[in-house]
Amino acid sequence: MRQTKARNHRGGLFFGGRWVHSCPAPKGTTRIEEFVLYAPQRLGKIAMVEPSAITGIVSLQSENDEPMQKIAWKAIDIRSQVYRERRQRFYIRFDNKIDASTVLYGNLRISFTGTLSELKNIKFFFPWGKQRSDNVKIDRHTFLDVNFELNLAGLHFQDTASETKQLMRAGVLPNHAIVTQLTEELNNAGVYLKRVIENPARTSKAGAHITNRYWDMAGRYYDGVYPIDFHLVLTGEEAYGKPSESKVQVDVSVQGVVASDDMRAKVAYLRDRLSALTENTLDNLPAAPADSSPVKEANFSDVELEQTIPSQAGRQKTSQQPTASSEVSRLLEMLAKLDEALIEGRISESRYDEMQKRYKSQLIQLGHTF
Amino acid sequence: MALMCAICNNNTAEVVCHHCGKPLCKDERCRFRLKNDDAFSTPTTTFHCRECLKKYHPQISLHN
Repeated sequence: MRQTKARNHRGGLFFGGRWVHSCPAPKGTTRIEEFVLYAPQRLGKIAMVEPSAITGIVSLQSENDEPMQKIAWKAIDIRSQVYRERRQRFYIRFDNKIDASTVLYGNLRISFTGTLSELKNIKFFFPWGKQRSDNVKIDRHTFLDVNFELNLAGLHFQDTASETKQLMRAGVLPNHAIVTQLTEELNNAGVYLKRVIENPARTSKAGAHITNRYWDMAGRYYDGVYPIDFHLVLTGEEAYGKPSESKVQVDVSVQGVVASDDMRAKVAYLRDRLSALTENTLDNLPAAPADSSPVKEANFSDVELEQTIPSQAGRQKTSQQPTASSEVSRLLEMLAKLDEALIEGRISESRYDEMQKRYKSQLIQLGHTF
Repeated sequence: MALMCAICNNNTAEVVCHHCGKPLCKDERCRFRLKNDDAFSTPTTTFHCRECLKKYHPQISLHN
């Protein structure tokens, strides 16, 4: 066997065995005589196993040994389709989650019809030296025995990391100014804001002088090509005639698929960064008037506002004669969109490479450095 | 591929040495037949190479 692969997803383990012949392949059928896997009992009961296997508990050799359970697959004929691919897959799922410190071990015995040496014309002789003349049936098989130990620490574990934080400010009017300012700050920070949804203002059940406001901002931040999604939910109470009693609450949630502690730290870092950015925005807003009627605003019923990038306005005005800086902004924006298109699968990798190269060369010509 | 005699390497082997398993042809210079070998419960004719016959049956005198 040339390669053994294993993938772990929550409590599931996927084994893939692939054998590559470095010498003439034995003709005939291939059969997995026995594949025995020993897994720690702390992984829990076996919830699913494919193909079906015999399971049991292994008796301890000494008190220091970790309790193990045995999973044994026996007499699995490799089907013709699988044989062409020269691979066999095994799937096993445990009740408990598999951690990276898990070590599995086992052994595998595969038989091939025929011999690797392609030995033919085998003759049999009696113990006294004379050749046997009767018809002797000859079964030629090659057996392959593999003992392995698999430390899952070397595998690529994927998990979803989610970080949340709640911010509260009293005496701040929940209005469009916060959203506008926050959108601008996010854009300046290089965070891609995908959408802003505003719910219609509703009168609070607590009192007719209080209006509940709600904005939902969602977007994505790219660390290289690694995407981290974020969600900012702004809720607030606008107190009519008493602006000082108004309040704003921002729920910051960030989530991303992580495979290491470094990536997990990046998710936490983005949450802290967005929280700091939101706090700064809220703190730098003009103070609510001491005694004034709330600002009248146009309400949009579930209107989805596409992000307006400040540079776009300037670009439109100077579209006839674009300046170098606006051209650089435009190209950087195109690069960001290109990344998004690749991740969403709208363009092929070759197309991505080609376009990225073109944009980058234009940027270098404009004096931009990476 | 035929099994060749390990002594002369010219002829096809027909027997093997009763002790070492060396393939031997029917040429009398290559194989030595021992009638009534007492290695078996019933006396049996066995085949030997020269070395094994000398080693395991020293009482047998070889003329060739």
